[in-house]
Amino acid sequence: MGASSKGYSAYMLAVGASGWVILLWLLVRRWEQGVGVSLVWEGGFFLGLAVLVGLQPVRLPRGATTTVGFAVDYACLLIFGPAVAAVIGVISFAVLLRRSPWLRQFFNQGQVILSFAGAGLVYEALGGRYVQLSAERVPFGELVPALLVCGVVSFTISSLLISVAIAQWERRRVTGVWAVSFRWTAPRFLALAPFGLLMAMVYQAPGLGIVAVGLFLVPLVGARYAFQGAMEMLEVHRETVWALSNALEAYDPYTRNHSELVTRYAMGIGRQLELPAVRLEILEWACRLHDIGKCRQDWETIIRKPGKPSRREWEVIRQHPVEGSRLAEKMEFLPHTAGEVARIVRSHHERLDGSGYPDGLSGEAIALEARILGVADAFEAMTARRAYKRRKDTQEAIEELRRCSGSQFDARVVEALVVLWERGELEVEPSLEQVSAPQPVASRVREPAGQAAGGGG
Amino acid sequence: MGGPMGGRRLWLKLYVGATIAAGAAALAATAHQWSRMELGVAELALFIGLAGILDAMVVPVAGGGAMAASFAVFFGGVLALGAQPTAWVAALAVMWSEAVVRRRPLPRACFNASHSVLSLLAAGWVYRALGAQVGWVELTAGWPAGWPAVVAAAVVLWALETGWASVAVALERGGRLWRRLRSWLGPGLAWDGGLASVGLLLALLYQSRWQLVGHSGWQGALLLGATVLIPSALLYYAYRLQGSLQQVYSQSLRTLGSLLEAKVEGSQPGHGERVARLAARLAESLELPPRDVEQIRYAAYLHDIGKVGVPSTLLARNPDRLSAEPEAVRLHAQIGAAILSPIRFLQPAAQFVTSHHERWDGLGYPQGLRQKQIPLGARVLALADAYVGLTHSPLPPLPLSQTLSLLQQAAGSRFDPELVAEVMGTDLARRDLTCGPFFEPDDGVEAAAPETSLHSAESAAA
Repeated sequence: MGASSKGYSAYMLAVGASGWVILLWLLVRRWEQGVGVSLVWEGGFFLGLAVLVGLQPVRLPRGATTTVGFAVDYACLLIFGPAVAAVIGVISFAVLLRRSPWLRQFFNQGQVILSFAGAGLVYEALGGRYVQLSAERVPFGELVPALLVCGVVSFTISSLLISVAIAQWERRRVTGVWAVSFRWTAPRFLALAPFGLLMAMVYQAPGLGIVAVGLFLVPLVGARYAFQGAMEMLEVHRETVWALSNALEAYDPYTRNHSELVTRYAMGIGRQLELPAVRLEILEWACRLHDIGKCRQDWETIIRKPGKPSRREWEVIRQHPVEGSRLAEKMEFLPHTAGEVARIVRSHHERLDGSGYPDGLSGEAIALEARILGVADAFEAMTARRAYKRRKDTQEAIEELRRCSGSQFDARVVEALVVLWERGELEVEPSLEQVSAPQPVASRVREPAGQAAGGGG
Repeated sequence: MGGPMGGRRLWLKLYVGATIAAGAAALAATAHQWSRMELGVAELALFIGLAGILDAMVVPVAGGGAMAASFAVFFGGVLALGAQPTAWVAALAVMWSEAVVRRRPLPRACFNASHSVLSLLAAGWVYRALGAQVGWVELTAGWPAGWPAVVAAAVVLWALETGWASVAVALERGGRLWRRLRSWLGPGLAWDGGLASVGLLLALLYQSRWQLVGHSGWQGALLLGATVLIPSALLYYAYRLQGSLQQVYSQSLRTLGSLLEAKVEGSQPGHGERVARLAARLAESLELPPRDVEQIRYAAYLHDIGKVGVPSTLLARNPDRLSAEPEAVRLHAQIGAAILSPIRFLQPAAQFVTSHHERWDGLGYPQGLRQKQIPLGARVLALADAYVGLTHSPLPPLPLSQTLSLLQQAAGSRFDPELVAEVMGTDLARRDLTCGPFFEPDDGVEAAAPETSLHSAESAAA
């Protein structure tokens, strides 16, 4: 936070305050249009729905939450107009965010009011009418352009307001943040907005309204539970694969913590190069799994043998990225980006000038993530404390990387690493340097005399 | 194929045959009523189209079998069109999606179409018997209005559809029927409950001839389609995502287990997978819930993961069947538990891994637990591990009969005698237990390790 904290707070306050001013104006306007008893109890019904849905958020990976409440919110807008919809939105947000800091709550109230107000005004300007305020049935079929524009406006306002807040908080560019959040929220919007529209349409059915809306809610809630299950499984899957692939290398003094450190360096470079979150996620998976192709009994003998490897052994070495990508393909699961991780694992030993293996790719044909992984991998290999090699200090390693940038490494990636180094973000705490592999609680492995294994860190 | 398996197969054939015959007869019986039905071609086409699309939205069920989203249209059809036309709709839609789109074998497609037809006719009968009117669902005038009939029809349709398929799965895979039904109940209720709501919504919109929402003609039809398709698609997407993630998870553990075998000296390629297969079958025949079976399978893939922490020279020694191991090797059980312990989801599996070298008589390690103190999953795992070790080892493998007698000798000392009896008592003992279930192709294990032709003679004889 630091320096940006003032701007951030000011922004959050401004959005919240302007939202509340607009809400007051909307409410006065609504009052002049007349308020009946039916508004109270029908609005109350929808408020109940919104709160119910808000009480059951779906937890997304990495701490974010979302609800399927957007469908209810959109239906409220089309039924009651922006004033009532904004009130319902504010209350349901208050329920959803009841444990958040007040500034965030205040900002989100403002954000939801502004997005409803904007959407409602545009909808009205294009000839749209609201179910509750209209004497006869609203012909939604003829209002399709207005509905579309209204949906787009509401989505744009709220995603922009949120992106600016995140960009200020994380000190990143708004466009980058917005592109990422757009990719994440647009599908949800596309799925839920028609849902809300349908709810508003069937709500007009005389004598059926509330029953029909209730019927819509059942599949929505069912989908929410399945989706929650999927999100939990995603988290469990990540946790499991990373823990176990770590364990596979943890007991070998030659590879202990290699992937852990490579991941840390590569993620630092990736953030420095402002990769979007989706790409960072792919990069992280690739880093965790990049050496998985080395899991074979004869690997150590081949690698540790003094002198040049034989032709067969060289073939084995060259094949490890291929083998690794085959395995990674079986293990990764990232929606919408299947196969990317495997592709990066496959080319992490490619060189910029085309002299790498296994495919001899060159330049831009090597994915950026693979170039990052290649630099991080080489840097870790040079600086790690290994039994067979003197450990280079960071200065020497950086010089070596710089010497080879342009031929072996991407200069841009190397420079990003240098920036990290200058900022002191490459320091590795001693706990990670020596680290321990999981050991049984009771006793440690007793090594028989004359065994070479163990030791190391 | 001897004994129970063969018997069950015959019953399965009879059951499928009888269902198809009854379905076809029922459909034929309704044919003469066509003239009395006032249905337009466009309306029928709309229902058939919707049912066809939704019938392609299928999600698998944990215990075997699958659920289709066409339930919504079927249920809505019973209320709006009546059971007989809906039966025709269902027959056409199911045959189209099963036989044409998914290219399932014809008997299977016919069976699925037939049990849908029969369930629909029964649900329609219940709906009318409770005094409700086909083509007009009354939900608001005078409590309880049409609710009892609507709910009863939904329950009957759901129970018959589910029950009919569960019997087939139970006959195909074994196990008691009510266990099968129970494994369908949890996920099935949320799924079919959501779809039943959509079906009711469909009926409500249809009965007003689409005037309710201010549209008629093709606009109304479009709206009706969207009302059915959008919620169903959302439900389908969420279930599908969840199902595919579970599959990916299982596959990842399998891959990690095979990596472990590739890395650890002295381990046999394909061992974990064989043990997993056998242990899962044992667990299924003990009728454990699907969730426990899964955890046992996971534990089996990873049961020797602790060996990555044991110096390889110790592991490379010549394995001497069923004899004691040096102490350092014994630590692998605890190291494995330590590796798995941070993964909360795998806690049950971690427990099985810890105790998979415990013995029934308390002489095992690491804790020297005895009898029922040892978790059931660990007992299953120990037995499966030993069996696979005997039949698929680098030493000349033992013939099946000898393996079984070895296991029998060790019942009550090494192994849980009840579990050994379970192996002996079922058809498991007649075949190589490490092969896949009878109706499913064996995927991949044989390719991983050269197979000895040990059991071929016995399989042929059986």
